Amino acid sequence: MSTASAVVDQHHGGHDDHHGHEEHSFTGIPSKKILMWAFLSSDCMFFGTLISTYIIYHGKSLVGPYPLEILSIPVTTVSSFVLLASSLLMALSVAAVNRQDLAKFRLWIFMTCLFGIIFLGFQSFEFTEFYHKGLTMSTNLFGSTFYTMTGTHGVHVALGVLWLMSWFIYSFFGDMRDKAIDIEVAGLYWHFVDIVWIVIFTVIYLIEFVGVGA
Amino acid sequence: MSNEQEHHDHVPVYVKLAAFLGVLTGAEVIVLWFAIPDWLMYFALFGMAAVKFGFVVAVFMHLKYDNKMLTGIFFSGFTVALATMVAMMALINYQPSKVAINVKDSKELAALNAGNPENGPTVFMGKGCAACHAIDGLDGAVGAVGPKLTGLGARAGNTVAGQSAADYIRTSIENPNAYVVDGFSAGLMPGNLKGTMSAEEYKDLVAYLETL
Repeated sequence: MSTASAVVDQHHGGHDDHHGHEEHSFTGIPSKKILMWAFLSSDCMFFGTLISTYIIYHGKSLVGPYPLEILSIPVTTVSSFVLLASSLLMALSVAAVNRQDLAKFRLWIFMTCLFGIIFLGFQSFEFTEFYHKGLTMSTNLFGSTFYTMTGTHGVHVALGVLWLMSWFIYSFFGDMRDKAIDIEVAGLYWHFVDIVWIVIFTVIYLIEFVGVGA
Repeated sequence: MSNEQEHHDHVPVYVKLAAFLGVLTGAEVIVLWFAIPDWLMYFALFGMAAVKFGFVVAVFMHLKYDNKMLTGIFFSGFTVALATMVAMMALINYQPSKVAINVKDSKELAALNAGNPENGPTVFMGKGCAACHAIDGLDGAVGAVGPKLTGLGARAGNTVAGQSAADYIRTSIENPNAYVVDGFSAGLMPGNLKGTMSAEEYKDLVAYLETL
Protein backbone atom coordinates (compact mmCIF):
# COMPACT_ATOMS: atom_id res chain seq x y z
CA MET A 1 0.00 0.00 0.00
CA SER A 2 2.75 2.35 0.99
CA THR A 3 4.70 1.40 -2.12
CA ALA A 4 1.71 2.20 -4.28
CA SER A 5 1.18 5.61 -2.74
CA ALA A 6 4.89 6.34 -3.03
CA VAL A 7 4.71 5.55 -6.72
CA VAL A 8 1.67 7.77 -7.11
CA ASP A 9 3.38 10.60 -5.25
CA GLN A 10 6.45 10.30 -7.36
CA HIS A 11 4.37 10.16 -10.49
CA HIS A 12 2.34 13.13 -9.40
CA GLY A 13 5.39 15.13 -8.48
CA GLY A 14 7.08 14.34 -11.75
CA HIS A 15 4.21 15.55 -13.82
CA ASP A 16 3.11 18.51 -11.80
CA ASP A 17 3.65 21.04 -14.55
CA HIS A 18 1.37 23.55 -12.96
CA HIS A 19 0.88 25.23 -9.67
CA GLY A 20 -2.04 24.44 -7.44
CA HIS A 21 -4.10 21.35 -6.90
CA GLU A 22 -5.39 19.76 -10.04
CA GLU A 23 -7.71 16.83 -10.17
CA HIS A 24 -5.69 14.11 -11.80
CA SER A 25 -7.30 11.07 -13.28
CA PHE A 26 -5.69 7.64 -12.86
CA THR A 27 -3.82 8.38 -16.09
CA GLY A 28 -1.88 11.18 -14.46
CA ILE A 29 -3.53 13.69 -16.81
CA PRO A 30 -5.65 16.46 -15.29
CA SER A 31 -9.32 15.54 -15.74
CA LYS A 32 -10.20 18.96 -17.13
CA LYS A 33 -7.65 18.47 -19.87
CA ILE A 34 -9.02 15.06 -20.84
CA LEU A 35 -12.50 16.53 -20.90
CA MET A 36 -11.44 19.39 -23.17
CA TRP A 37 -9.63 17.09 -25.59
CA ALA A 38 -12.64 14.77 -25.72
CA PHE A 39 -14.86 17.77 -26.44
CA LEU A 40 -12.52 19.03 -29.18
CA SER A 41 -12.47 15.54 -30.64
CA SER A 42 -16.26 15.64 -30.92
CA ASP A 43 -16.16 19.20 -32.21
CA CYS A 44 -14.06 17.90 -35.13
CA MET A 45 -17.06 15.85 -36.18
CA PHE A 46 -19.35 18.86 -35.80
CA PHE A 47 -17.23 21.03 -38.07
CA GLY A 48 -16.50 18.05 -40.32
CA THR A 49 -20.17 17.74 -41.22
CA LEU A 50 -20.56 21.49 -41.78
CA ILE A 51 -17.47 21.67 -44.00
CA SER A 52 -18.37 18.60 -46.03
CA THR A 53 -21.92 19.91 -46.48
CA TYR A 54 -20.43 23.10 -47.90
CA ILE A 55 -18.22 21.09 -50.27
CA ILE A 56 -21.06 18.80 -51.37
CA TYR A 57 -23.34 21.71 -52.27
CA HIS A 58 -20.52 23.74 -53.78
CA GLY A 59 -21.32 24.68 -57.36
CA LYS A 60 -24.94 23.60 -56.99
CA SER A 61 -26.44 27.03 -56.38
CA LEU A 62 -29.09 27.88 -58.98
CA VAL A 63 -28.94 31.63 -58.49
CA GLY A 64 -26.18 34.06 -57.47
CA PRO A 65 -24.31 35.52 -55.77
CA TYR A 66 -21.79 32.74 -56.34
CA PRO A 67 -18.67 32.30 -54.15
CA LEU A 68 -16.24 33.61 -56.78
CA GLU A 69 -18.24 36.82 -57.12
CA ILE A 70 -18.11 37.84 -53.48
CA LEU A 71 -15.41 35.99 -51.52
CA SER A 72 -12.53 38.33 -50.78
CA ILE A 73 -9.05 36.86 -50.35
CA PRO A 74 -7.39 40.10 -49.10
CA VAL A 75 -9.94 40.66 -46.30
CA THR A 76 -9.91 37.04 -45.21
CA THR A 77 -6.12 36.84 -45.33
CA VAL A 78 -5.89 39.72 -42.87
CA SER A 79 -8.47 38.16 -40.55
CA SER A 80 -6.58 34.83 -40.78
CA PHE A 81 -3.42 36.59 -39.65
CA VAL A 82 -5.35 38.14 -36.77
CA LEU A 83 -6.63 34.77 -35.57
CA LEU A 84 -3.20 33.20 -36.00
CA ALA A 85 -1.62 35.99 -33.95
CA SER A 86 -4.25 35.49 -31.25
CA SER A 87 -3.07 31.88 -30.97
CA LEU A 88 0.44 33.11 -30.18
CA LEU A 89 -0.98 35.56 -27.62
CA MET A 90 -2.94 32.73 -26.05
CA ALA A 91 0.18 30.56 -25.80
CA LEU A 92 1.99 33.50 -24.16
CA SER A 93 -0.90 33.88 -21.68
CA VAL A 94 -0.62 30.24 -20.66
CA ALA A 95 3.17 30.54 -20.30
CA ALA A 96 2.73 33.70 -18.18
CA VAL A 97 0.18 32.15 -15.83
CA ASN A 98 2.45 29.16 -15.43
CA ARG A 99 5.21 31.55 -14.32
CA GLN A 100 2.61 33.31 -12.13
CA ASP A 101 3.54 36.51 -13.96
CA LEU A 102 0.15 38.14 -13.44
CA ALA A 103 0.89 41.41 -15.22
CA LYS A 104 1.99 39.61 -18.39
CA PHE A 105 -0.88 37.16 -18.10
CA ARG A 106 -3.42 40.00 -18.01
CA LEU A 107 -1.75 41.76 -20.92
CA TRP A 108 -1.59 38.69 -23.16
CA ILE A 109 -5.04 37.34 -22.38
CA PHE A 110 -6.53 40.78 -22.92
CA MET A 111 -4.74 41.00 -26.26
CA THR A 112 -6.00 37.52 -27.16
CA CYS A 113 -9.57 38.68 -26.51
CA LEU A 114 -8.95 41.86 -28.46
CA PHE A 115 -7.66 39.93 -31.49
CA GLY A 116 -10.65 37.60 -31.20
CA ILE A 117 -12.94 40.62 -31.26
CA ILE A 118 -11.08 42.06 -34.27
CA PHE A 119 -11.57 38.74 -36.05
CA LEU A 120 -15.30 38.88 -35.26
CA GLY A 121 -15.30 42.46 -36.56
CA PHE A 122 -13.91 41.23 -39.88
CA GLN A 123 -16.56 38.53 -39.96
CA SER A 124 -19.33 41.03 -39.27
CA PHE A 125 -17.96 43.24 -42.03
CA GLU A 126 -17.88 40.27 -44.40
CA PHE A 127 -21.40 39.11 -43.54
CA THR A 128 -22.78 42.65 -43.92
CA GLU A 129 -21.00 43.05 -47.25
CA PHE A 130 -22.38 39.74 -48.52
CA TYR A 131 -25.87 40.62 -47.31
CA HIS A 132 -25.80 43.88 -49.27
CA LYS A 133 -24.64 41.97 -52.34
CA GLY A 134 -27.76 39.82 -52.03
CA LEU A 135 -26.51 36.76 -50.19
CA THR A 136 -28.68 35.62 -47.31
CA MET A 137 -29.02 32.24 -45.68
CA SER A 138 -31.98 31.48 -47.94
CA THR A 139 -30.68 32.90 -51.22
CA ASN A 140 -29.03 29.72 -52.43
CA LEU A 141 -27.12 26.65 -51.28
CA PHE A 142 -23.91 28.68 -51.06
CA GLY A 143 -25.56 31.15 -48.68
CA SER A 144 -27.09 28.43 -46.48
CA THR A 145 -23.93 26.36 -46.15
CA PHE A 146 -21.52 29.31 -45.96
CA TYR A 147 -23.33 31.18 -43.21
CA THR A 148 -24.03 28.01 -41.22
CA MET A 149 -20.39 26.96 -41.23
CA THR A 150 -18.61 30.30 -40.78
CA GLY A 151 -21.36 31.43 -38.40
CA THR A 152 -20.83 28.36 -36.21
CA HIS A 153 -17.12 29.11 -36.20
CA GLY A 154 -17.85 32.74 -35.30
CA VAL A 155 -20.00 31.59 -32.37
CA HIS A 156 -17.06 29.46 -31.19
CA VAL A 157 -14.80 32.53 -31.34
CA ALA A 158 -17.37 34.66 -29.50
CA LEU A 159 -17.76 32.06 -26.72
CA GLY A 160 -13.97 31.87 -26.48
CA VAL A 161 -13.73 35.64 -26.10
CA LEU A 162 -16.32 35.57 -23.28
CA TRP A 163 -14.49 32.69 -21.60
CA LEU A 164 -11.06 34.35 -21.77
CA MET A 165 -12.46 37.76 -20.83
CA SER A 166 -14.01 36.25 -17.71
CA TRP A 167 -10.56 34.95 -16.70
CA PHE A 168 -9.06 38.37 -17.36
CA ILE A 169 -11.61 39.92 -15.00
CA TYR A 170 -11.25 37.11 -12.49
CA SER A 171 -7.49 37.70 -12.28
CA PHE A 172 -8.11 41.06 -10.59
CA PHE A 173 -10.30 39.59 -7.86
CA GLY A 174 -9.48 35.92 -7.50
CA ASP A 175 -6.45 33.83 -6.69
CA MET A 176 -4.75 32.72 -9.91
CA ARG A 177 -2.21 30.45 -8.24
CA ASP A 178 -4.18 27.26 -8.80
CA LYS A 179 -5.82 28.36 -12.05
CA ALA A 180 -3.05 27.55 -14.53
CA ILE A 181 -4.81 24.39 -15.66
CA ASP A 182 -8.05 26.32 -16.30
CA ILE A 183 -6.22 28.82 -18.49
CA GLU A 184 -4.46 26.02 -20.33
CA VAL A 185 -7.79 24.27 -21.02
CA ALA A 186 -9.35 27.53 -22.23
CA GLY A 187 -6.25 27.93 -24.41
CA LEU A 188 -6.78 24.50 -25.97
CA TYR A 189 -10.27 25.59 -26.97
CA TRP A 190 -8.91 28.83 -28.40
CA HIS A 191 -6.22 27.10 -30.48
CA PHE A 192 -8.80 24.64 -31.76
CA VAL A 193 -10.91 27.51 -33.06
CA ASP A 194 -7.76 28.66 -34.85
CA ILE A 195 -7.10 25.30 -36.52
CA VAL A 196 -10.72 25.06 -37.64
CA TRP A 197 -10.17 28.41 -39.33
CA ILE A 198 -7.01 27.09 -41.00
CA VAL A 199 -9.20 24.44 -42.63
CA ILE A 200 -12.05 26.83 -43.49
CA PHE A 201 -9.65 29.38 -44.96
CA THR A 202 -8.21 26.73 -47.26
CA VAL A 203 -11.37 24.87 -48.23
CA ILE A 204 -13.74 27.80 -48.64
CA TYR A 205 -11.54 30.70 -49.64
CA LEU A 206 -8.28 29.53 -51.21
CA ILE A 207 -9.56 26.49 -53.10
CA GLU A 208 -12.26 28.63 -54.70
CA PHE A 209 -9.60 30.55 -56.60
CA VAL A 210 -7.60 27.59 -57.91
CA GLY A 211 -7.40 27.89 -61.68
CA VAL A 212 -8.86 31.38 -61.52
CA GLY A 213 -6.14 33.33 -59.74
CA ALA A 214 -6.78 35.66 -56.86
CA MET B 1 10.44 26.09 -9.91
CA SER B 2 11.99 24.03 -12.68
CA ASN B 3 8.53 23.92 -14.22
CA GLU B 4 8.50 27.66 -14.59
CA GLN B 5 11.75 27.41 -16.42
CA GLU B 6 10.35 24.75 -18.70
CA HIS B 7 7.36 26.85 -19.68
CA HIS B 8 9.44 29.95 -19.98
CA ASP B 9 11.65 28.18 -22.47
CA HIS B 10 8.68 27.54 -24.72
CA VAL B 11 8.09 31.21 -25.35
CA PRO B 12 10.81 31.65 -28.02
CA VAL B 13 9.48 28.48 -29.66
CA TYR B 14 5.97 29.96 -29.73
CA VAL B 15 7.19 33.18 -31.29
CA LYS B 16 9.23 31.39 -33.95
CA LEU B 17 6.31 29.10 -34.73
CA ALA B 18 3.91 32.02 -35.04
CA ALA B 19 6.31 33.72 -37.46
CA PHE B 20 6.60 30.51 -39.47
CA LEU B 21 2.81 30.08 -39.56
CA GLY B 22 2.45 33.69 -40.68
CA VAL B 23 4.90 33.13 -43.53
CA LEU B 24 3.09 29.94 -44.50
CA THR B 25 -0.27 31.74 -44.56
CA GLY B 26 1.27 34.39 -46.82
CA ALA B 27 2.63 31.62 -49.05
CA GLU B 28 -0.81 30.03 -49.28
CA VAL B 29 -2.22 33.23 -50.71
CA ILE B 30 0.72 34.09 -52.96
CA VAL B 31 0.82 30.61 -54.52
CA LEU B 32 -2.63 31.33 -56.01
CA TRP B 33 -0.98 33.70 -58.49
CA PHE B 34 1.39 31.04 -59.77
CA ALA B 35 0.42 29.31 -62.97
CA ILE B 36 0.82 25.73 -61.84
CA PRO B 37 -1.35 22.72 -62.64
CA ASP B 38 -4.52 22.47 -60.56
CA TRP B 39 -3.53 19.17 -58.97
CA LEU B 40 -0.24 20.66 -57.79
CA MET B 41 -2.10 23.70 -56.47
CA TYR B 42 -4.49 21.52 -54.46
CA PHE B 43 -1.55 19.52 -53.18
CA ALA B 44 0.30 22.68 -52.14
CA LEU B 45 -2.72 24.33 -50.48
CA PHE B 46 -3.88 21.26 -48.55
CA GLY B 47 -0.27 20.43 -47.68
CA MET B 48 0.39 23.85 -46.19
CA ALA B 49 -2.93 23.77 -44.30
CA ALA B 50 -2.02 20.36 -42.88
CA VAL B 51 1.42 21.62 -41.79
CA LYS B 52 -0.15 24.63 -40.05
CA PHE B 53 -2.77 22.42 -38.42
CA GLY B 54 -0.11 19.98 -37.25
CA PHE B 55 2.18 22.60 -35.75
CA VAL B 56 -0.60 24.38 -33.85
CA VAL B 57 -1.83 21.09 -32.42
CA ALA B 58 1.66 19.84 -31.57
CA VAL B 59 3.19 22.99 -30.10
CA PHE B 60 0.55 25.58 -29.17
CA MET B 61 -1.76 22.84 -27.93
CA HIS B 62 1.14 20.93 -26.36
CA LEU B 63 0.32 17.51 -27.79
CA LYS B 64 4.01 17.05 -28.57
CA TYR B 65 4.90 17.41 -24.88
CA ASP B 66 1.79 15.90 -23.30
CA ASN B 67 0.68 12.38 -22.54
CA LYS B 68 0.12 10.52 -25.83
CA MET B 69 -3.31 9.51 -24.65
CA LEU B 70 -4.52 13.05 -25.39
CA THR B 71 -3.23 12.71 -28.95
CA GLY B 72 -5.19 9.47 -29.19
CA ILE B 73 -8.38 11.03 -27.87
CA PHE B 74 -8.20 13.94 -30.28
CA PHE B 75 -7.20 12.08 -33.40
CA SER B 76 -9.76 9.32 -32.89
CA GLY B 77 -12.49 11.94 -33.22
CA PHE B 78 -10.57 13.69 -35.97
CA THR B 79 -10.23 10.46 -37.95
CA VAL B 80 -13.92 9.64 -37.62
CA ALA B 81 -14.71 13.18 -38.79
CA LEU B 82 -12.36 12.95 -41.76
CA ALA B 83 -13.64 9.50 -42.75
CA THR B 84 -17.25 10.72 -42.50
CA MET B 85 -16.42 13.70 -44.69
CA VAL B 86 -14.80 11.55 -47.34
CA ALA B 87 -17.67 9.04 -47.22
CA MET B 88 -20.31 11.78 -47.47
CA MET B 89 -18.59 13.42 -50.42
CA ALA B 90 -18.05 10.12 -52.19
CA LEU B 91 -21.56 8.79 -51.68
CA ILE B 92 -23.75 11.86 -51.96
CA ASN B 93 -24.05 11.58 -55.74
CA TYR B 94 -23.90 7.82 -55.83
CA GLN B 95 -26.64 6.22 -57.82
CA PRO B 96 -26.62 2.59 -58.74
CA SER B 97 -26.17 2.75 -62.50
CA LYS B 98 -26.82 -0.91 -63.14
CA VAL B 99 -29.14 -3.25 -61.37
CA ALA B 100 -28.02 -6.83 -61.43
CA ILE B 101 -30.83 -9.22 -62.26
CA ASN B 102 -30.44 -12.95 -62.17
CA VAL B 103 -32.41 -14.71 -64.84
CA LYS B 104 -32.42 -18.43 -65.46
CA ASP B 105 -33.33 -18.51 -69.14
CA SER B 106 -34.45 -16.42 -72.08
CA LYS B 107 -38.11 -16.83 -71.13
CA GLU B 108 -37.54 -15.11 -67.81
CA LEU B 109 -35.55 -12.41 -69.53
CA ALA B 110 -38.35 -11.88 -72.03
CA ALA B 111 -40.85 -11.68 -69.18
CA LEU B 112 -38.72 -8.98 -67.52
CA ASN B 113 -38.48 -7.04 -70.76
CA ALA B 114 -42.16 -7.34 -71.55
CA GLY B 115 -44.32 -4.32 -71.04
CA ASN B 116 -47.57 -4.26 -69.14
CA PRO B 117 -50.40 -4.03 -71.67
CA GLU B 118 -52.80 -2.75 -69.01
CA ASN B 119 -50.91 0.55 -68.90
CA GLY B 120 -51.01 0.85 -72.70
CA PRO B 121 -54.32 2.73 -73.02
CA THR B 122 -53.07 5.37 -70.57
CA VAL B 123 -49.93 5.93 -72.63
CA PHE B 124 -51.94 5.83 -75.88
CA MET B 125 -54.32 8.54 -74.68
CA GLY B 126 -51.67 10.49 -72.80
CA LYS B 127 -49.33 10.86 -75.77
CA GLY B 128 -52.11 12.00 -78.07
CA CYS B 129 -52.13 8.92 -80.34
CA ALA B 130 -55.94 8.89 -80.15
CA ALA B 131 -56.18 12.14 -82.10
CA CYS B 132 -55.27 10.26 -85.27
CA HIS B 133 -55.89 6.58 -84.54
CA ALA B 134 -59.16 4.92 -83.60
CA ILE B 135 -59.41 1.82 -81.44
CA ASP B 136 -62.74 0.10 -80.86
CA GLY B 137 -63.62 -0.04 -77.22
CA LEU B 138 -61.20 2.67 -76.14
CA ASP B 139 -63.09 5.83 -75.22
CA GLY B 140 -61.87 8.89 -77.07
CA ALA B 141 -59.77 6.97 -79.58
CA VAL B 142 -61.71 8.03 -82.66
CA GLY B 143 -59.15 9.82 -84.87
CA ALA B 144 -59.23 9.07 -88.61
CA VAL B 145 -56.05 10.74 -89.89
CA GLY B 146 -54.14 7.48 -89.49
CA PRO B 147 -55.23 3.87 -89.82
CA LYS B 148 -57.61 2.38 -87.29
CA LEU B 149 -55.62 0.12 -84.96
CA THR B 150 -58.32 -2.38 -84.03
CA GLY B 151 -57.00 -5.84 -84.93
CA LEU B 152 -53.44 -4.50 -85.29
CA GLY B 153 -51.95 -7.28 -83.18
CA ALA B 154 -53.35 -9.91 -85.49
CA ARG B 155 -52.32 -8.10 -88.72
CA ALA B 156 -48.91 -6.81 -87.70
CA GLY B 157 -47.18 -10.17 -87.69
CA ASN B 158 -48.26 -10.90 -91.26
CA THR B 159 -47.68 -7.57 -92.91
CA VAL B 160 -43.94 -7.66 -93.50
CA ALA B 161 -42.23 -10.97 -94.10
CA GLY B 162 -39.87 -11.97 -91.33
CA GLN B 163 -41.03 -9.32 -88.89
CA SER B 164 -42.88 -10.16 -85.70
CA ALA B 165 -45.94 -8.17 -84.62
CA ALA B 166 -43.91 -6.40 -81.94
CA ASP B 167 -41.13 -5.52 -84.40
CA TYR B 168 -43.60 -4.18 -86.92
CA ILE B 169 -45.32 -2.03 -84.29
CA ARG B 170 -42.01 -0.68 -83.00
CA THR B 171 -40.77 0.09 -86.51
CA SER B 172 -44.01 1.89 -87.32
CA ILE B 173 -43.73 4.10 -84.25
CA GLU B 174 -40.02 4.84 -84.51
CA ASN B 175 -40.03 5.29 -88.29
CA PRO B 176 -43.64 6.02 -89.31
CA ASN B 177 -42.89 6.22 -93.04
CA ALA B 178 -41.31 2.74 -93.23
CA TYR B 179 -44.62 1.08 -94.06
CA VAL B 180 -47.51 3.37 -94.91
CA VAL B 181 -50.90 1.66 -95.00
CA ASP B 182 -52.70 1.99 -98.36
CA GLY B 183 -55.00 4.98 -98.45
CA PHE B 184 -53.01 7.05 -95.94
CA SER B 185 -50.36 9.71 -96.53
CA ALA B 186 -46.74 9.42 -95.52
CA GLY B 187 -45.16 12.19 -93.48
CA LEU B 188 -48.10 12.94 -91.23
CA MET B 189 -47.10 10.97 -88.12
CA PRO B 190 -44.37 12.52 -85.93
CA GLY B 191 -41.24 10.41 -85.89
CA ASN B 192 -40.14 11.38 -82.39
CA LEU B 193 -43.00 9.92 -80.37
CA LYS B 194 -40.80 7.33 -78.71
CA GLY B 195 -38.67 10.14 -77.32
CA THR B 196 -41.64 11.55 -75.46
CA MET B 197 -42.07 8.36 -73.44
CA SER B 198 -40.09 6.64 -70.76
CA ALA B 199 -38.69 3.22 -71.64
CA GLU B 200 -41.35 1.71 -69.44
CA GLU B 201 -44.19 3.59 -71.13
CA TYR B 202 -42.94 2.58 -74.57
CA LYS B 203 -42.79 -1.09 -73.62
CA ASP B 204 -46.29 -0.90 -72.15
CA LEU B 205 -47.64 0.77 -75.28
CA VAL B 206 -46.14 -1.80 -77.64
CA ALA B 207 -47.39 -4.65 -75.42
CA TYR B 208 -50.88 -3.13 -75.49
CA LEU B 209 -50.93 -2.65 -79.27
CA GLU B 210 -49.94 -6.31 -79.71
CA THR B 211 -53.10 -7.36 -77.85
CA LEU B 212 -55.41 -5.52 -80.22
